[in-house]
This record gives sequence, structure tokens and C-alpha cells, in this order.
Amino acid sequence: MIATGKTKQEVVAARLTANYDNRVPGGTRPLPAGLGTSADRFVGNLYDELNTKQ
Amino acid sequence: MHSEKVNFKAGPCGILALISLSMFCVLDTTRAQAPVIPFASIEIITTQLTPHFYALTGTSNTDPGHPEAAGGRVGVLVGEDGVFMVDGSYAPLSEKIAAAIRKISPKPIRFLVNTHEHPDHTGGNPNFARMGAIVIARQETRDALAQPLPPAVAAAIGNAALNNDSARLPVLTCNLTDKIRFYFDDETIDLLPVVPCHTNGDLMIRFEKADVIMIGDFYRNYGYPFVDPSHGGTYKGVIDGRKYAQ
Repeated sequence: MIATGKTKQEVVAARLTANYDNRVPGGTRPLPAGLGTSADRFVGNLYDELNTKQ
Repeated sequence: MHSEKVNFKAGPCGILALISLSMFCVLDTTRAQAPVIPFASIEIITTQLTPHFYALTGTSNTDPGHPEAAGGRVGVLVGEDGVFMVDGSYAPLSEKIAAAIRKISPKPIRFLVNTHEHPDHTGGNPNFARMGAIVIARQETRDALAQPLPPAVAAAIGNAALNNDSARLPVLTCNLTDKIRFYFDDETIDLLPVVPCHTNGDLMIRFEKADVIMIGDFYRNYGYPFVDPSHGGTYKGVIDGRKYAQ
């Protein structure tokens, strides 16, 4: 998705982890609380790390 | 004091297996949205894992970032040589943790190893150092701890009074390529520096005979894998670092 030019917001919005979110405790908590690692935070951080290497 | 290798008396080896004693870091200091933790209501629960190894945890459902166990888990090895601790939890829990340890052993706390820099693992450093413990960590962890927390975050986790306390800093450090082995009582303890994963200063602690490995926040059983990029963590390291926990 990065290679195709998707932005971080677009990648997060794609909900790539949706099939797992309800199976991961705390996976669906909203980001602002900063508690645990939500799906959005996980995907967002992963995007940042991979995008740096592009 | 700075040393890269420590050896004490010899002891036997045991079979290794992974017991996940994940400890949670919930405070992303870059976001500075610290949870309110009711420290006064937290009690310390002691679980004996082996004849000489214990896990200390706080009451469940009291710490928003550690639903299962407030403050994460503290590892405690006890024996004739004294007490060997892994991680110091939050500063306001130090007295309760020390009291729980005293119920296990009257011996002094001799060593406290930090798995990484986050305050739910290092907040108690100055308190335990004053009790006589030698605090050990990665050099990267010491470097990070040398930078005080943002005041609001320190206050929220009950760490304000100790935020600039020099006793919070590890006095014995190691780097990524160092291998430190303790021979402590009848146990062999390996400190295993890990490539940048949760942070850039992660350290796993393997108790060979007890068959326990404490991996800090390398793995958490709450939320997706937690990497702290603001402190050098990488997901690549999480993948590459799996070998350290095997």
C-alpha cells in the first residue's frame, strides 16, 4: 500500500487488522488514551517504520 | 560504577523454556496522556512460580494500562545470597513491593535489573537503590532515564519527587553485544541484550534453573505489539528479537 502511494491515514482507515481486533485485548481502544496498543496505533506505527525504509 | 561483565559463584544450568511475564508500558510520553492510577488501592499479589522464583503483581482492574496486573509484573528470585529483582514497577508501589518481598525472604535486595526504560519498570529504581539494590540496565536505558519525564507525566504516575533523583539511574550497564551472567545462589541468570524492539534498550533476563525468562514489554498480552519509536523501538526488532526468547 505504501508502494502504491497510500497515505498513513488511508492505510489506517483500511482497517487491515479488522479480523483480529476483537480477539486482541485492548485492540480496539481509541488512540488518544495511549493505553495498550490499539489497532490504529499498531498499523500507524508500522506504516511509519516501513515508510521510512522506502 | 560501570562494568560490562559480572560473575559471582558457580551454579548449575537448567532447561530453558519461555514463560511470558510480560510487563506493560502504557505511557507513551510523547502523547503525554497519562492515566490516573489509584496507587493507594493497589495491593501486591505474590505468585510462586518455582521454589525460589516469584512474580509480584498489582491488583487487577485498577491500573488502566495493566488490566490484568497493576504496574505489570516484578520478578523476584530469593535465596541465601539475597534477592534478585527484575523491574521496579511504579515508584508509589515500592514500599508495598518491598513488604511483599520481605514476606518471602528477609535477605537484602541485592540486584534490580530493568528490562527497559519505561516508568512502570523503572519508577521504583531510586527507592530500591536506597534499600541497597544495585540497579542494572542497558546503557541505552540509563541514557533515556537521564532525561527526566515531562512533569505532567511524572506527576500522574506518582514519580514527581523522584524525577530528577540520581538514584533512578542504573549504576551497572551493558551494551547490545555484552553478555552478562550471574551465578546467584543455585541459579544461573543471563542478561540478554536485545536488538531495538520495544525500545532501543531492551534486556531479557533468563533464569536457567527456574526455567523462567522475563522479557519486559517485548511481548504483551494486552493490545497489539507495542513498539515505542520515540525511544528507538522497531517492529523489525520485534521480529528479529524472537530468537532471544527461545
